[in-house]
Amino acid sequence: MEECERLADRALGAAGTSEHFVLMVAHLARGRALVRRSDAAGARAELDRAVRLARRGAGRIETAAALLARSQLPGGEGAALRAEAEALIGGCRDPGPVVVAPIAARRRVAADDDLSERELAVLRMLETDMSLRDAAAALYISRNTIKTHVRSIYRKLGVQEREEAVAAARARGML
Amino acid sequence: MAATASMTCQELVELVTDYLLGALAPGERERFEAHLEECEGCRIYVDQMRRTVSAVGALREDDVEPEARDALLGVFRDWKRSSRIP
Repeated sequence: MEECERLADRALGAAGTSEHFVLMVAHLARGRALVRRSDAAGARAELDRAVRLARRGAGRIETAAALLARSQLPGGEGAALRAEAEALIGGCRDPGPVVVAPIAARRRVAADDDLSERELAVLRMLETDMSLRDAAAALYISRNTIKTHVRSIYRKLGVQEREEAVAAARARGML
Repeated sequence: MAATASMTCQELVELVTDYLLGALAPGERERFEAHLEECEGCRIYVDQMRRTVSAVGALREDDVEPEARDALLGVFRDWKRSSRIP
């Protein structure tokens, strides 16, 4: 990481205060290094600059990488930046790990608290006063399978009881 | 007898994992708990199950001694064999 920062600094030092879009790469590198150092304010300044320069003409992948790096910081339009990045690389068959990893990470996070179709079906059963056995029979699944679904629903919603699960799901608009 | 009006011991045993999971239907849970109030045997049983679930849930593979693991797997193997219909 020190090596990376040194190279980025050298590139920026050589370029002076140039606003050429190629320098976005150095700002991106610096920004990511600062993220690792937990310097959010410094990282934001570097990544904002990287995004601004990239928009002047950098390649799609480089621009998407800058947008994604920036979107992961608090403040600013994280979702909008991410959408812009995904639109940029939407047509690329192989965008490479620099942009694929952050998008995949983001999807994993989203998938972590989204309920699957099957879990939603179980959740709708939990809303009734049906016993688990009857609910399992209605869904054509075994009692052990329905319990597994219930456990993952509770884990995703952060609850311990049926009534809490129903209340939490209603609050999130899942029911 | 109030105990049978709420739930029988056998019904309770069948529902114990649903209960511990926190997934009983509202009316069902009341009948389950009403039975527990009146039946010491089932109270002990549910308590044992609760302890078992939490102990087993806290175990990781490394926590089990190799000898204990082999002994346990042996029990499961024999159990399967002995319960097989001839």
